[in-house]
Amino acid sequence: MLIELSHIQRLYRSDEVQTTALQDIDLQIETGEFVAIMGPSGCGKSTLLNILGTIDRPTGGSYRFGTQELTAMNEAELAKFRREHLGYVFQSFNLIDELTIEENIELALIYREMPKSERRERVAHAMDHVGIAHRARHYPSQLSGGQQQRAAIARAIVGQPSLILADEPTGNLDTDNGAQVMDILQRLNDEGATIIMVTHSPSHADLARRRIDMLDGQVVVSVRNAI
Amino acid sequence: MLSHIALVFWRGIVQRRLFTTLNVLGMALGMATFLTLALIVRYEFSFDRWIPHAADIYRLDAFDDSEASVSSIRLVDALRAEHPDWNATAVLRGFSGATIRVNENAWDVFIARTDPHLFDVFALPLLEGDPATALVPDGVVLSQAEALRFFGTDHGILGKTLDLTQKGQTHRLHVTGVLKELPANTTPRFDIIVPSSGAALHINDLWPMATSEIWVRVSPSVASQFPALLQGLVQRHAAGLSEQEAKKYVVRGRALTSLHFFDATIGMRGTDKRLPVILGIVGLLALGAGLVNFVTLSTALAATRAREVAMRKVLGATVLMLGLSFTAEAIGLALIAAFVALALTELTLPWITTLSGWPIRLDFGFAVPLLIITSVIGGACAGAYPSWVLSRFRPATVLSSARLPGSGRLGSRLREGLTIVQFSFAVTLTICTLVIWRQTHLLQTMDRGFHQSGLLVSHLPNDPTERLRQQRLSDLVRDLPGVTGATVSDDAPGGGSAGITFDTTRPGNATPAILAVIGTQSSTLPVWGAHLLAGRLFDSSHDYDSRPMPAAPFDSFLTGQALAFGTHNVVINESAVRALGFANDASAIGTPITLHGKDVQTIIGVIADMRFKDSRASVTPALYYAISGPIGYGVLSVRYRNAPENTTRAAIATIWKQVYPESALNLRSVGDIIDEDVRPEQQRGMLMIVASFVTLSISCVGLYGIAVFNVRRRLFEIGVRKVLGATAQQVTRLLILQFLRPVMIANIAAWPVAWWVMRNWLSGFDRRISLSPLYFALTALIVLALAVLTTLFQIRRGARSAPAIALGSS
Ligand SMILES: Nc1ncnc2c1ncn2[C@@H]1O[C@H](COP(=O)(O)OP(=O)(O)OP(=O)(O)O)[C@@H](O)[C@H]1O
Ligand SMILES: [Mg+2]
Repeated sequence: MLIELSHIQRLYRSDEVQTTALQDIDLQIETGEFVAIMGPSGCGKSTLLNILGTIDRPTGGSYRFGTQELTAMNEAELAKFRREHLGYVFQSFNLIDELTIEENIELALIYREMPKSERRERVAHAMDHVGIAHRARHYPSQLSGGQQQRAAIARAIVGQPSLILADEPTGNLDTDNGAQVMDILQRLNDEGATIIMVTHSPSHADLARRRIDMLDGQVVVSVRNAI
Repeated sequence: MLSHIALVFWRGIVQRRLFTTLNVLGMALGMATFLTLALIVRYEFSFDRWIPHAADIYRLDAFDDSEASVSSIRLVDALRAEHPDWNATAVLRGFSGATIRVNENAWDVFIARTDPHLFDVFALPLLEGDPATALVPDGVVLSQAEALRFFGTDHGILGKTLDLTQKGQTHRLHVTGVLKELPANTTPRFDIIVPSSGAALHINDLWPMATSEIWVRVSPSVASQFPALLQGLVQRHAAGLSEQEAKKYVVRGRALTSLHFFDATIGMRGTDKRLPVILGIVGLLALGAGLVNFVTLSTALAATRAREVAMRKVLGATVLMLGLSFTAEAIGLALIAAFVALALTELTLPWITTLSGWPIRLDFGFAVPLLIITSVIGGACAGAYPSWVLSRFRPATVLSSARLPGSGRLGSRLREGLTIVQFSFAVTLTICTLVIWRQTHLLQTMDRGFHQSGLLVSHLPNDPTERLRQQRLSDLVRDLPGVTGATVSDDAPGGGSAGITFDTTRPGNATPAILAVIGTQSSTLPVWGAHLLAGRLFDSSHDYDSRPMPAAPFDSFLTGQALAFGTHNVVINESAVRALGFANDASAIGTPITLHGKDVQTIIGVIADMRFKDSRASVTPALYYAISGPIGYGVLSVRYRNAPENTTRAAIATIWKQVYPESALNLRSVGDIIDEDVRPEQQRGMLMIVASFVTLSISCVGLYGIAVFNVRRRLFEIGVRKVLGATAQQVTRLLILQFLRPVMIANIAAWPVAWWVMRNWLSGFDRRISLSPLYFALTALIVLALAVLTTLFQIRRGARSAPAIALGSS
C-alpha cells in the first residue's frame, strides 16, 4: 500500500463561517495506480490533492505514505519529503517566467545534492520524454499552453518521484494538447509511476485505471475502469 | 545551489531592469551620501591621533575664572620644580605680528616660541635636521610650507638665515630643521618654531598673564593621578599672587586627543562636537532612506514572486533555503549598489571638498569595509521580510489560482510604513536645510553694529619704544584721497586684543558686571560707523573724553598693586547697559561707574553691540574709552569711500614702507574677515542642502517604484472600477490620494523632530532667525509636489488604460 488516508478532514474557519472542504475521507492507493478524481466544482478535489501533496495540512485524520506518517512531520521534513517523492502538475503550469524551460525543469533538482552533470542528463532525458527538447532555451512566455504544460510535466517527473499529482492538467488546454498530455501521463503510468489526477473531463478520467467521484467533501464512488 | 542563486539573481537583474535600477540607484545614493559624511565624521574624530604618543600628551590649563587653551608660563616652572621627570614644554604663540625677512622679501607672520623640550613631548617628524639639536638659541624650525614660502625650497636649507623682527628688535636666525608638513587634522600648529629661553619666553611672567600653551607627555599612570598631583600646584608656587587670588586657581589636564572638540566648548577654535554628530545623523538618515527604498522595493518584488516561491516550496525547498537565497540575492544587489556608491563618491568628492571645505580623501581601506558591512546589513534587512512571508504562506492557494495573490494587507501596510519613515527623513532634512540656509543668510546680512564695507584693518607692530610712529602712520593715511578716516584702537573688526576685563559696578547695584575695557581714539567709533543709541560719542574738546595713555596700566593692575587707569568719560554698548542693570539706554547717560572698585568713569554714550568676529557668539559687554596719543597692541582701521580698494591698499602699503620699513604689512578688508568667519556655516549649509536633496531624491525614486508596482498590481481593480462607471479622472484622484497619504503622515511625523533639532542648532547662535511654521509648511508643499510629480505619470497611465486590457491581463 503506497498511500493510506483515514478520516481525513479539512475545515476552513474564518471569523464566523466554517467550511468543510473535506470530511472523513478514507482512501487507499497502491503503487503504480493511475487514479482520476472527479466531481463538481467546490467539492474538495483540489483540497484533497493538496493534502496528498503535503502543501496543505488536514485538520484531522491520518496520512500514511509507505511507512511514514506525514501528519506528524514538520515543515522542513515535509519539504524533504516532497523533494524526494512527489511530482506536481497544475492547471496553470506555474513555470517561472525568469527561467528558461531547461532551468525550470532543473529547478526540481536544485534542492537535492546532485552533481551538475547528472542534473543536465536527467533534464535532457525528461525533456525528450515529453517532446520539448527543441524548446530548452526558450522562456515560458515563448511557448504555447500545451508546450508549457509538457514542460511542467517534465519538471514533475525529472526527480523520478514515486507519486505524480496533477490538478486539472488539461484544464487550460485545447483538445489536441489535452490528448497529448494524457498520452504522456499514460505512458508514465505504464512505466510504473503512480499518478493521481483531478479532471473535469469524463473521457480523460476514463483513461485512468481507477476513478473516484467526490461530492461535498466526501468520496462517493470509487470504480476501477476496465482497461 | 550557489550557481543557481547566481543565475536567478542575474536573470532578476536583467528581466526586472526597472526595479533593479530603482533599487540600486536609491541604495547607491544613500550609501554615497553616508560614505561621504562618514569620511567627514571620521576626519573630525581623527584629530591629533596621528601624532606620535598622542595618547600620552596632555595640555595643562591653569585658570582662575574661565578656562582657556593658554596658561601662564609660570605653570611650566612650577611643573619642573615638582615633577622634574615629566616631559614638559611651553609654547608661546605670538598674538601680535612678527616680521620675517629673507633678503629683500618680508612677511607678516605668527611665530611659536618654545623651550628646547618641545620635541620631547611632540615627536614630530623632521624632514631635515636633528630633533636633538634643532632647538638651539638663534635656530628656527620651519614647516615645509613656510620653508617653501621663504626659501622657495624645503630641502637643503639647513643653516640658511632669516631675520626676525618683533617688538622693534631684529634677530638673525638660522634654519635648524624643516618639519614635515603637519596634516590638516592637527590641533597644535607649528609653522615657525623659534627656540627661546629666559626673557623671550618669560615675557609675561605673571600668573594672570595666560599666554602660553603648556604641554606634557606622561605615562597613563601619571595621567590618571592628575587631579591629585595638580591640586594646589599654583598655590605652592604663587609668588606675586595674594593668598585669596591664588586659591581661585585650578589646573586641569586635557588629553591632546580630546582638544579638537574640547576647545570649542571654551571658545578657543576647535570644532563643536555637535557638528560631526549632526552630520553623522544626516548620513545615517540618507543611508536609512536608501535602505528603506531597498527593503520596500524588495518586498514589493517578493509579492510578485509569490508564484515562483510557491512552486519552489512544492519542489521541496525549505523555508531556510528560500530565505537564504532571497537574502543572498538582496546582498548581491546591495553590493552592486555599494560599487556604484563607491564610484559616485570618487567622482563627487573633489566637488564636495571644495563645497564643504573639508579636506577629505577617499580612503579605500575605510570605505570598502564600511560599504561591505552596509551591504550585508542592508541585504539582510531586505531579505528578511520576504523570508518571513515565505515561511508563512501556503503554496496551495497561490498555485491553484490563476491570479496573483495580493501581497496581503500586512505587506502593503509595511510598505506604507516604510514610505512614511523614509519621507519623514527627507522632510526632516528639508526643513533643517531651509532653516540653516536662512540662518546662514542672516549671518551674512545681519547688521553687525558697524559699517562693514569700505573698512580695512591691520595690526600694528607692537613696539613700545616707537609708539609715536602710529600717529605718523594714521596721519599720512588719513590724508590719502578717498580715505575718510584712519584710527588706532585695542580691538577692531576682525579682532585685536579683546581688551582686558574689569569688574564694574554702578551705584545702587551691588554685584559687579564684567566689562571688556577697550582703548580707542576719539575718532575710532565714527570711523567704524558705530550706531549711537543714546548720548554722544567722544569729542576731544571735552575734558576727560580723550586722555593720554596711563604708563604701564595693565601690568600694574594685574599684579594687583596700583591701578593707574585714571578717570575717563566712557561709551558703553547695549550689552553693558543690560549687564550693569540700567533700565534703558538713556538712563545710563551721565551715570558714574566704578572700575575695579577704584576709578570712577562717567558714561557719555551708548552704542549698538558690535559683532567684530565670531558670528555665533553673543557680544561681550564692553566699555570704550579714548586715548590721546599712541596705543599699545594697536590695530589700524581705515575707512575709505569712492575709491577703489586696490589703489587704497597700494597707497597704504607705500606709506607703511616709509613708517615701518622693518615690518611687513598685513592689511585685510573687514568684509573678507566676516566672509571668512561665516564661510564654515555656509559650507555646512551647502553640505546639508546636498544631503537633503539626495535623500529627497532617494525617497522619490522609492515612491516611483512603489507607484509602478501598485498601479501594475491594481490594473485589475482599476478595470473593475471603470467598468462600473468611474472616470479616469476619478480613478486618478483616488490613487493619488492613496499615494500621498504616507507622505502627508511623514510630514507630520517629521515636524517635532525637525523642530527639536533646529531649535537646538539655532540656540548655538546669539543672533538667530525664529523657527517659523513657514519652513514646515513650505517643506510640506515641496515634498507633496514632488510626490505628485513622481507618481502622477504612472497613475495616469494606469487610470487611462482600457478596462478590457486590465481585466484581460488578470
Ligand atoms: N482558503 C480557503 N478558505 C476558505 N474556504 C476554502 C479555501 N479554499 C477552498 N475553500 C473551500 O473548500 C471547498 C473545496 O474547494 P476546492 O478548491 O478543493 O474545490 P475543487 O473541488 O477543487 O473545485 P474546482 O473544481 O472548482 O477547482 C470549497 O467550498 C471552497 O470554497
Ligand atoms: Mg480545484
